[in-house]
Amino acid sequence: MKINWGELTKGIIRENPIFVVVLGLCPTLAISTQTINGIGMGIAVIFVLACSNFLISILRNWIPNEVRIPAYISIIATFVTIVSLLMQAFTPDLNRALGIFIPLIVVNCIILGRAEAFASKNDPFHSILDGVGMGLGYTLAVTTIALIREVIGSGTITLQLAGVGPVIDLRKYISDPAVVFILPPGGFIVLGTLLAFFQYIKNKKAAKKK
Amino acid sequence: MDVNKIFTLIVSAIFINNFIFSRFLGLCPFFGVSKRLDSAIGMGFAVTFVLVMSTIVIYPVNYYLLVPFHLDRFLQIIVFIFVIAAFVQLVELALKKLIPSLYHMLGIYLPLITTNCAILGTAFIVVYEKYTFLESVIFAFSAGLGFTLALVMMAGVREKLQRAKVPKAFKDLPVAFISAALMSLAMFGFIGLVK
Amino acid sequence: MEKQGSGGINMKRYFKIVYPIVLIAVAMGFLLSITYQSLEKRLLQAAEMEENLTLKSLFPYAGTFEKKEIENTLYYEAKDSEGKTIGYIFKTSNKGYGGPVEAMVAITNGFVATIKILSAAKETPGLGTKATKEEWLSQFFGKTYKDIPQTKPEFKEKRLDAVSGATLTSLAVARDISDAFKIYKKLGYIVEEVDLDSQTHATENTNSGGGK
Repeated sequence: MKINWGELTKGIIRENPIFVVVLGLCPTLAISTQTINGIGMGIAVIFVLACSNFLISILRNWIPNEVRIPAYISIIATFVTIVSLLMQAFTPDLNRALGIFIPLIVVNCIILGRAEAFASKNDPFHSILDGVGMGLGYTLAVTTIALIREVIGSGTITLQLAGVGPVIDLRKYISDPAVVFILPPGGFIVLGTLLAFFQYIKNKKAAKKK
Repeated sequence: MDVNKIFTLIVSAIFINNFIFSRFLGLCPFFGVSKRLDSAIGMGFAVTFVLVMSTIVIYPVNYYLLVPFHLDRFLQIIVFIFVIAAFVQLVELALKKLIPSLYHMLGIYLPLITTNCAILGTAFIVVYEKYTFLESVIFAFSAGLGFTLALVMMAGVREKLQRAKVPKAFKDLPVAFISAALMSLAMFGFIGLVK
Repeated sequence: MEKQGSGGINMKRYFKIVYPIVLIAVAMGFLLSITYQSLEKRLLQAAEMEENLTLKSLFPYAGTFEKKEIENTLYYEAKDSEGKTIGYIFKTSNKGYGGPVEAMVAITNGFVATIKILSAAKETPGLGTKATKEEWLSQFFGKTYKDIPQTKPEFKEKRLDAVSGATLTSLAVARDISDAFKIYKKLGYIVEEVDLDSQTHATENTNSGGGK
């Protein structure tokens, strides 16, 4: 079997689920108030994406078309529950910070989207690649947003998980953080600006082609 | 029945903790459907309906089926989403037969209500906050109203933005986000409304 | 689905479509329950550990904490290694600016030993959160019930600082402390009260102790 590594890399930049396809927004804006939240959520999403893509791909020829959506949802929900239980047991502080957005990974359009668009039509190995790639792209996006929001909004970079890790304090350089950035409006502003940036690049590329 | 608490619940769900501008629930359809006013209203009502009805079903399922057998610790997510998916399917069939115009207008966004974070999110909020049945239903209804309000406001703004001179990089989606940011900021003014 | 043909063919098609989803649902349910069973111990441990850590931070010299209940309210009795009671920890909650401010108040010998804010998630970041820091909370250490303010002007009267720009949050914390004293009083201890004790704060405040 020929391995197409492009399936892994496409999700990171070119088809980045948040910046390019603009899916799965709800948790992205809600939890991106601390950098570690972005990383934690990202890892959870990678896990769910990889596992569900894998299982769905294996079963793709067996699941009848009429019930495919409920089937995919059950599988995804199962892995989300597993992640949730693991987080409750091993990283309770992250679990509390991410709150209801952990169970909400189930309805994250990215996961169902990849199941429908890719895993249902491709072999298990490449489905895992696709899942991991998209998950990595997602993690990159959320963490970037969280980093920006946290630095401007609280003047810190929190990388602490289960009591381990640094909390970098930048308040000697940033004397008065703009609190609005860790509040809801800030989320919209940061994502909107980043989207504009990506659209700018897209426009430039299209102009070059002409 | 504590009227003050109910009033606080309603005002809080619609304005202070607005699902879109404050809780970030229901964003995907928000940016997808809010381009036109009529589809925004239609979507808002559909979501409100599914919100209320699914809460009505999920509440007893959770408290009389899952909790007594301690199944809620690990079956909650899968059972909740099943109920929602089944319900949306019903709504789809019903709309197709009864109000076909609405069915066609919503198009693909109708089945997508299943993956609307607002619906599942409400179910979990109701459980976390330990609302009574009545409080849950009122909360779901108010949340739906808040969602509809946000959609309608956004549609009004976006229809105008289509004709405004927006920098090329910000056209369409990014400027919609900035508008949402401003509306979200405005919502903060409501915080002192309830004690 | 077409209605032509005999009912038998329809049933077969129906079954063929439905059985995979039923099988998947059952299989997933099974997978979930095994996962839960294997993690159950760890889950309970994690929850207990969280609680113990907070309790320990309030009474570092305590040997054990005994969970007790009075009038539907939970509290902890801290005992030293010889079993002698050294103090109590009460979990109280009052509404602040945007949501409940939950505190753990440690009382010993009728005065505040220390306080820890468990959650003030909906308070204003930066301003309200100042009221969760030990720097501000320490002004309450060593105070008795009559020293705790119930309204904004009382802060000044009793020579305490409310966090400027976060009055509601500061009041919520103060009320958490006085609520703790009220439970302490119920345990039979004598608590000196203010003369105008006609309930200066409204009964809308919620107590996190009694669940549903």
